[in-house]
Amino acid sequence: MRILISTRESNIRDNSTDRNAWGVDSIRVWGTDITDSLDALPVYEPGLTFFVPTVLERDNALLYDGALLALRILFRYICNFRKGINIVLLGTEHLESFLCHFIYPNTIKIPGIYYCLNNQKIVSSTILPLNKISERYQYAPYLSQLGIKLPSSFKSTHSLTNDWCLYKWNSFMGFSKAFDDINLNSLYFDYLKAIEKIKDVKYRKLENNKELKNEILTLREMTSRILLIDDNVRWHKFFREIFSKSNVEFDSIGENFKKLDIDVIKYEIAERIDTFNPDVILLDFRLIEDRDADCRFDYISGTQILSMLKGTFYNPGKSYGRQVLIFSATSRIENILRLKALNADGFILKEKASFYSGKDDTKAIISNMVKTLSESIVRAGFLKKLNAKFDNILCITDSYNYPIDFVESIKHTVDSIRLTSQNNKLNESVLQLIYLDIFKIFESIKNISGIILFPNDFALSVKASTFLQICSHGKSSIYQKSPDDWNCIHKFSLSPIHHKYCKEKNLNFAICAIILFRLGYTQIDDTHWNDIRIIRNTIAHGDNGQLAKRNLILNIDSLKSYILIMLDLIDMILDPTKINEIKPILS
Amino acid sequence: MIYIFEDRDSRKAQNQDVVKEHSDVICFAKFDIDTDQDLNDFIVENFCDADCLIFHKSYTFKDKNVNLSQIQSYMLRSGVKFCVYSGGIEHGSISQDGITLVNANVMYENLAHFINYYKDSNEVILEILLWGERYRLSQLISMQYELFNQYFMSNDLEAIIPSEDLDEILDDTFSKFEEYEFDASPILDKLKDRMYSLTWNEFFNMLSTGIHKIELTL
Repeated sequence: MRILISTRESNIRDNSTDRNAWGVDSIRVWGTDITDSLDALPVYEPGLTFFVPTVLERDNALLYDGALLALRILFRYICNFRKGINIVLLGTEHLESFLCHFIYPNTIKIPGIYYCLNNQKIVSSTILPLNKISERYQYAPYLSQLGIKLPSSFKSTHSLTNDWCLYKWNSFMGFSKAFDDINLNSLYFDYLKAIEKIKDVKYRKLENNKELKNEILTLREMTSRILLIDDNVRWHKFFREIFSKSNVEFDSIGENFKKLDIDVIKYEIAERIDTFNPDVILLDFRLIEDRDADCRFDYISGTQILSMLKGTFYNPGKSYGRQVLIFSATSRIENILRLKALNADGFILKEKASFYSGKDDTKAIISNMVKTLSESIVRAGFLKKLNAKFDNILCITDSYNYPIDFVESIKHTVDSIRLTSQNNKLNESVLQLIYLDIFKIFESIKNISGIILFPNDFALSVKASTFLQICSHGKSSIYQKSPDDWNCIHKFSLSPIHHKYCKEKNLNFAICAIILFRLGYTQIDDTHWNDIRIIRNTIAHGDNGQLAKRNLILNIDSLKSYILIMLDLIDMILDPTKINEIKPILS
Repeated sequence: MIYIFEDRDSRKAQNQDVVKEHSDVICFAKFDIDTDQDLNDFIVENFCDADCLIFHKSYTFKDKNVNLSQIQSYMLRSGVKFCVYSGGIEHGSISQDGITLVNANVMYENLAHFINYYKDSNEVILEILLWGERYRLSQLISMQYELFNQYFMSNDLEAIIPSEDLDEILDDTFSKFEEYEFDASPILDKLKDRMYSLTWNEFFNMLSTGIHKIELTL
């Protein structure tokens, strides 16, 4: 079959006169019968030959839009039918001149591609040999020599990766609505398809991927707030689709960022974070692509926003604990390391055409994205609470008249824990370290002079048997010793049986006394102090016996839970507004 | 005066140097038309000296009733050159009705050359925004395309050009050269020597050689 592509500027149309004159079976008019989508091309048959003018529109002659169309036609047949067709380029100049002007002169080296003048007699008398290429791989060396360039609408490989990743992920997830916006109709994408870097989209049903489906369902069941910061509105749609019908509240910002100055962008993001209070932020690394493409690392919009969100180690900013994940096409190791140094909590890397080797790649990358999000939600759930409690305790110690060395020790502990939790996975070992660090605050509290304001005339005595017995202040025996003796906890006098615990600055005794007489509890166990202490002893000394007696389990969840309980207790002890001082009863 | 309607601060900042350097003929402008204001009045009041408007394709108008195609139609009717640019346009083009589309990066790359030509000749050549310094080559190839389609597409290249048609063909050919402002005299001189028994193919070769020589001078 011989097909002539005609232009709207010429008068050649698909009628018998013109078909006979040009010696073709069919004439198709560019822009009418054949459009950008190239969907109406006939199926492959041996001897299929296209005659394509090198120029389709006069005013854009230097573009050689016809020659580009011819390449796209060839790529389509290589991709869809894996067989060779013939294409004759119909020029209006000598071949040498065409090769000097056309951007891809190596086109003419491809088997089955010919060039002749766009002349009726020449075309009608052209008889070509059958293109013997029968396997697509035979085209590979010729296609690699073409040097197909990125479309000018793509400033960088970043935008290319964006479009390709959206194409793959939406098709893989079966998000047909979102996919409507993605236009991969260009020579470059046809080229990628021809060299098997891309395959034509196939909508998949998530139901067919049970493992991935379960991962996504688990993610959807998590209660959390996720904010996407991205200038590409198609990513907004993609994630909105992922989090539809889920417990995750999703919000997005950035579609107008291309038009804004970086300072205005920072302001808008800060404002949205204040109102939405997200647990996890997905931050596009290049928010203003026009500008970011030529920027040094420090000035790239994503770097600047990350610095604003995460602050520095000593000034962690409001987002400490809130997980900021870099959503990027970058796989440059130096960029990743530098972003990590700026306290990025994780990375979701977009799928790249150049690394694609099959649908399993897409599945693995999406699965990784879902896992990263799930883990981040869990991390944020703990770290945001931890951070809020730290902030509160630091505020209390700054606001009330606590000794400077005590305040400094608290700050040091908080900094140390923030560093540990920022840069490490929250596994059992790390949580144990955090636990021991926080427990040290009790030691510091014990040494604060006057933390328990006993009347000068009384002292505390603890009865024998268990610690629980001292819980009930009603049952405690208080007796008067000499005046001025009982203002500091380390001077407590004890009954002989407990003397071994309490003769000098005994932590347990001091905290029990604080709980009973500063906070006014009647039961120590109401504050979990005994559990806190036993867990600490288990971690520090490997003493599992007491743990078992109290039915305590040491795992990630219990450690997280008791870390937060410890901080609540510290908060109660230090906050003067929470003091419920009990006067000891005279016996 | 040339007005650029750019609503992306980053792009504006990146390209402000070239615009500032030629602030006597070009500036970044805003199309802040009020809801109740007449489009005609607004344009006359603000852009009566415009020789060319260069608009970002997705420019956001304060008045939602105004859109780009309205302004484009108005300007083209008034003989003001109009160019639309966008990062999403892959290949620039000029349509026969004068609508010029160009990729944003390409437009800014070629802007200095475009302004310089405007300053030198007081003429707005939108092809410069598309092709930069290659715009004359673009015109040369367009001319070649037109001549080829007119004379060489349907005729038998081996046939002798009918002598009764030859004068008219040569006149039309040189008119085309004049239209595109290329010098046809070297070709004319050669053709005068071969006025008779000239085949279409010979005519094509002579034209091609002449056009190639012109190309070397661009």
